[in-house]
Amino acid sequence: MIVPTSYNKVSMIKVSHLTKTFQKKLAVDDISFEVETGKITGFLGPNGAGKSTTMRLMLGLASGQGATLFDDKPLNSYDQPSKLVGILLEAKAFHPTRTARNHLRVLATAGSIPFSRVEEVLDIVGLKTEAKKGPGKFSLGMSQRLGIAAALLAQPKYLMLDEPANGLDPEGIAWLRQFLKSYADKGNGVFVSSHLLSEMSQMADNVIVIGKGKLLASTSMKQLIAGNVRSSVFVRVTKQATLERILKEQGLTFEKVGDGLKLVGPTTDEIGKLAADAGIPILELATHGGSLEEAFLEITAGAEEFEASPGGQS
Amino acid sequence: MIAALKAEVLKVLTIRSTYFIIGIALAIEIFVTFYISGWQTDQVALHQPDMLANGIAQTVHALSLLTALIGLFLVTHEFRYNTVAYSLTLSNNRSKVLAAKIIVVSVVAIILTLLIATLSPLLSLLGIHANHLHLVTQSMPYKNLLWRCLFYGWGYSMAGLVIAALVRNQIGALVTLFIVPGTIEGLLMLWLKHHVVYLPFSALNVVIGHGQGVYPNAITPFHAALVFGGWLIGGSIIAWVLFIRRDAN
Repeated sequence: MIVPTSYNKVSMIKVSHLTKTFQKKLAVDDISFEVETGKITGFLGPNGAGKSTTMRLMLGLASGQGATLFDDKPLNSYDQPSKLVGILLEAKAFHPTRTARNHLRVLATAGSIPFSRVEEVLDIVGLKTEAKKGPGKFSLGMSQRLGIAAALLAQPKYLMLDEPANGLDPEGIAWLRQFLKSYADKGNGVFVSSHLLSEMSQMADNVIVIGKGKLLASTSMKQLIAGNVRSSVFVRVTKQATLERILKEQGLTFEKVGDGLKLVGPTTDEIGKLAADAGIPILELATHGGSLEEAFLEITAGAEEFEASPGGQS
Repeated sequence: MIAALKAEVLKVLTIRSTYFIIGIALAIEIFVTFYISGWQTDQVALHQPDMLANGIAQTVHALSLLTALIGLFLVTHEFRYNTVAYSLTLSNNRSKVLAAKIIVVSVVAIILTLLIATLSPLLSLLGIHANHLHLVTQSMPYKNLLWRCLFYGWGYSMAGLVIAALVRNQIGALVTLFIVPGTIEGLLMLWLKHHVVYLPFSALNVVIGHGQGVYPNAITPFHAALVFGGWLIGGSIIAWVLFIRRDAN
């Protein structure tokens, strides 16, 4: 397991020893981590890993052991919790015939937020023209936008979003990424779970990974990838056999990939120098960095709750 | 607390079912009181001095089930559509959320019961006069009728809310509200005989004076109100504890 990096921020969400059991099955197993302000913290895990349950435990919506402190205090100790944390736990959490505007007005009223803010968030998420409609017939993407609007209502210090990109079109995903980045840049904390790893890799600064209810990693995105996936060098030359011989003489192992060679360990500088010294013209020389997906698969190997059979075999 | 109250009021006012239920209740009331009890009433009824008073009690008895649905929906919609997560995280105390629902449902039930009770004699008189019939001078025990009608209407709505908080599932709560008062307590009457008045909905019936022939003079309306109150307090405490402790999903 990757040890959490040391955070020096005063304000943060601090999760300590969260545990939840469903009928003797540990859904969340002694999880502790921190969510910093000014950063986006990604929350990853295979299906059934316990991400949603963890979020519900953090918010006090589910009962269990452990504690979650928002700036050193439990959420229910704040007079107006909505000013501290905005949530999106489920895209379709609304009455289908209550208009989108009225849905937000109900939430605004409960949070002592002026109705003018409702119009602002409708504008932010691009639902102003749909505000008079009942969201029952909204697409998943539109429902997500309404959920994001609800989360933003009180301009909270923290956002907790469960799969907010689900159902969003590419434009919507790009908008969400930019929006969350700018929200975090303003000194707010964003805690977001997602299955879209490529999206998360572009968005998140820190990453929490869980599997089968256990914490597998809590670190920065860079450290997660660097610590779990070794980058490789791909080289393509005119005299491949000569290069192969030189590499063997140097004790370097390689793998033939297409019409080139893949090496794990040496840098492009080292390979380039070896080829140049031997007078071998280089056609292609590149570093292949590890991806979040590779790191995720490496970390969660064996921690999947549900596993499909290879090739769809039954 | 004020914010939670305002939000619950807005929830009631911003869904179609509220207006649909009130519309249905008013349509039934107009048909029954104006047409059946007014326009088409028979000579025997026209010579009874308590015809209008009985009509009020009967109308409130018949329509309180509909007003109870408003209270039931205010709770079950939260779980059916998962808006309960918002309600509970926007407030710092679950008790406040439940208390706000109880207060709002109480106010709605009292307003609707007053409306139903007021319209009943007016519409009956309108139907009688429109058909050129003559009604004998009526006695109207205002105080007695008022507390019994208000208690019945409020009590039924509270029962709906408590059932909803206990069951949470909308279909389950609806089925419970529809079958417990008539079917379940009706069957239990075969075993309990006149002691059935100590069951909640039978006691509530005694309060409004419904089914007097079934369990005559077993207890007074006041004592029946106490019996129902006991059930309601007990049910409310269980509902409150579960609302506080259960996972909100």
